[in-house]
Amino acid sequence: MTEQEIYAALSEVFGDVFLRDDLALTPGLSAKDVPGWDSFKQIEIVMATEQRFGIKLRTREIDGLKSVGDLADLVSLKLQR
Amino acid sequence: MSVFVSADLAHIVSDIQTIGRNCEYGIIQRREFKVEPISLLRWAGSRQRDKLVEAFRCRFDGLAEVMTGRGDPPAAAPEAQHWWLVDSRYDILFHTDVMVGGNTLEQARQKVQARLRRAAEMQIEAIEDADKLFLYSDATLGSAHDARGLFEALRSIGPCWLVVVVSEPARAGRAELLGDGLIGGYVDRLTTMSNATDYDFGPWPSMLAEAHRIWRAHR
Repeated sequence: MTEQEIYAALSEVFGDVFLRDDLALTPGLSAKDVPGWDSFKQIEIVMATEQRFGIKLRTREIDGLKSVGDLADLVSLKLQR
Repeated sequence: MSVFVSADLAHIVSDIQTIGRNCEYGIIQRREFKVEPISLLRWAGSRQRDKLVEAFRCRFDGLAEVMTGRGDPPAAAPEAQHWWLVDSRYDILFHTDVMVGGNTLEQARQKVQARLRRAAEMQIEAIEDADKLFLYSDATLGSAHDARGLFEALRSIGPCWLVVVVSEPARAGRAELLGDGLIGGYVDRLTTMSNATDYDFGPWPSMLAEAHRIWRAHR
């Protein structure tokens, strides 16, 4: 899966979680940029990402996520394994 | 006090994860440090300590299978209320972001069940990995040693450390090593289930910093 494809799939994930179709995902986008991105939404993002890509994220991996770019990198790494 | 509210302390606070008894520490994380970690028990209230011990002993088996609930705030209209759901087996109350208006109790339970179970998996994994310091604060405890049963339940899962925060004004703001893996933390007062937002922030930063230092030095 290319980086572009990962971002496209993550855009669908974020759109479903936040019920918005206007969120432009960039590597630097983080919780402070999106109203309502709290820990409830964070776990929904994790679960939807796991389901969308067929992967399982470990707790310490999730703890290390600071931005959408970190999530995309982690997804890419998981898909390569 | 502002000297303590630094990027370093925000990092420390991210390393310390609550396992109850109410939302006080979760609110402090959000309001004072802008920290928003995923944590099963951060927006929860465990009403019986022995049931919380059982939950850890059982690794939260069957969590969210049977739940009762009510709207909050109680006096508000349904469209302005969120569901508060109580797990019947472990007697733990969970705040949710599911609105009462448009969702029956069963619909709300179904919406949060998968999320709670995934958060429980993450909780157990974090205890196994032991790369967090866990925090339990409880206004009903006479001494940090009174939470030893809870500590032993955690240790049956993994080699984690626990700081037990109790109300002890004479030592407020301090923390001490009580034994292998167990730390006592002291504040002026702790909130109860019904007034978690009415916390006294004063002693928390220095207590958290000291507990974190002890954990990092001995783990």
